[in-house]
Amino acid sequence: MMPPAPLPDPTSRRSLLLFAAGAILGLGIAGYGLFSARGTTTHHVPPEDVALVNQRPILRSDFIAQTEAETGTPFARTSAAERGHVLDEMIREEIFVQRGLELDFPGTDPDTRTALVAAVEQQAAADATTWQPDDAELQQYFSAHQEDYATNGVMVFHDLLLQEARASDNDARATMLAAAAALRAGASVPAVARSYGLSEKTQPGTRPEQFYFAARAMLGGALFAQAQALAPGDVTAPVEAEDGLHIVQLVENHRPVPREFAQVRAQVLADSRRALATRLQAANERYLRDQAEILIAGTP
Amino acid sequence: MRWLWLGVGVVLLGLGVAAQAAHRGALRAALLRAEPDSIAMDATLLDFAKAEARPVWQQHCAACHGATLRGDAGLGVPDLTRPERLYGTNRVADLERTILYGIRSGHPKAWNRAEMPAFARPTPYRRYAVASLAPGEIGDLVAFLRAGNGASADPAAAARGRALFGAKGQCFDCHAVDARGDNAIGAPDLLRGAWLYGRGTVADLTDSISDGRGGVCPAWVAVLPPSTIRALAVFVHDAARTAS
Repeated sequence: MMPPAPLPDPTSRRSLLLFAAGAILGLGIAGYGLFSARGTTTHHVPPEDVALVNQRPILRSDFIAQTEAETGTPFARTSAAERGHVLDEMIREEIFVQRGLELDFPGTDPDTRTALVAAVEQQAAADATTWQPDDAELQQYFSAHQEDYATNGVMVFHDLLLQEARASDNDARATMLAAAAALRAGASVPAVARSYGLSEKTQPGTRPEQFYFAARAMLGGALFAQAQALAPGDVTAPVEAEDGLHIVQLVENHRPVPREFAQVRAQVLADSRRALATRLQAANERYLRDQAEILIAGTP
Repeated sequence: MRWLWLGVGVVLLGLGVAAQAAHRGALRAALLRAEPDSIAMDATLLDFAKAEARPVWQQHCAACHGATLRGDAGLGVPDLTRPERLYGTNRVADLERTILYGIRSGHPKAWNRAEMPAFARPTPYRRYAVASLAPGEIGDLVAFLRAGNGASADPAAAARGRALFGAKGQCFDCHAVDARGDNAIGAPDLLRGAWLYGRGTVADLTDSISDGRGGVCPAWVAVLPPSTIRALAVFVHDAARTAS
């Protein structure tokens, strides 16, 4: 005897129908929302804003700062008319900025483009300001750049010049060698200058002691290198420069001295943040270039 | 019956949480809509702002400024319990601006008008031409600053330093002719006997003049909600007001 055929379950058909109806309703709502969307709009100004212009907020704190800057008085003492005037100006600016974007001024106006480039560069480096390295990280940076934190080298010297003389002129060279010998023997600089017709080349008002970089700028690379290698009291060989033959007597030479980490902690922090900012900016540029589709003509 | 009471309890708890959230939302809105200078006079808003700010301070600000707001003179982090401010004043509106946009933070609205040149370098300043100083000139300026703050200094060197301050050093350009500073550009008062970096020793002042300074504070505008930033400004304002 054949078993009776199972009766159709009315609840399973109903659930199928309800499921289909729900799916159709959901798709309908989604389609309507998708094709008739007007963006998220609000008619309520959030408490942190003073106004919305085409849904773009004007921050209340910006408004307060602008009002105080324009009136020169604390916000609490400004009048309703003054506040209204400032707000009107800020709304005007916002409208014009929005119009400027519609007109694609960032694409055409050089000043806007320059400002945008600078702003993006700054923004890329912004994370460096929140970076708070611990002492171990700072120590590591300090160790890797220790020479940057040495004291400046300082030099005191006399630079004597035989004007318009050339190294190829044997008489001039002999004069300078004799003057150098007299200085080494202990004669005073003014006496040697008088005796040999030399002038001390020091700019008016300059101090006798100079940082290495300033001494190098005054003497030129060759003379500075010779002077730096001398012992105090010793004199360089004559060196020709544009204005004549020079000899330099070294009086004092304080070479750069490494400093302890504790002395330069603030500088190390600033420098390591700057280095991070540079790395972040470079990474940002690499990323933007990677993401960009750049087509270059065969012969740019 | 037991399930009924449990349901009632859950509903009441939910209502309580919702009421609390609504109350806090209303206080946040009131904090933002209040005139900044008036918040210190409103005990409810003041207490609410301080309670809102305290955990955020510990999370985001204390790493530099310290849990007690006293800063770190070794790193040039100011003592915020003092009423003087490097930028602007101790008013809530000024503090809020600094917290929003920062100092040399990279944000276009940050305080970023100037920094201290490094006078012992070939190019001391990147914004415009400033002459380097010789070691003796830096020593004279240090003597002038120490003398002006009641510390021991050679009077002749201090006199030369005063002349440099108003001429070749161009110090007056930021710190004002009377060395009292300019909080519109973050140039500190050099005669008030308190120092942002160090303690005013010869070495501290020499380092500042030689190597330059330019501290940073992040911009929090994109990180923290506006009500939290306002609360932090109130918190810092109140800390200095209470301490003074």
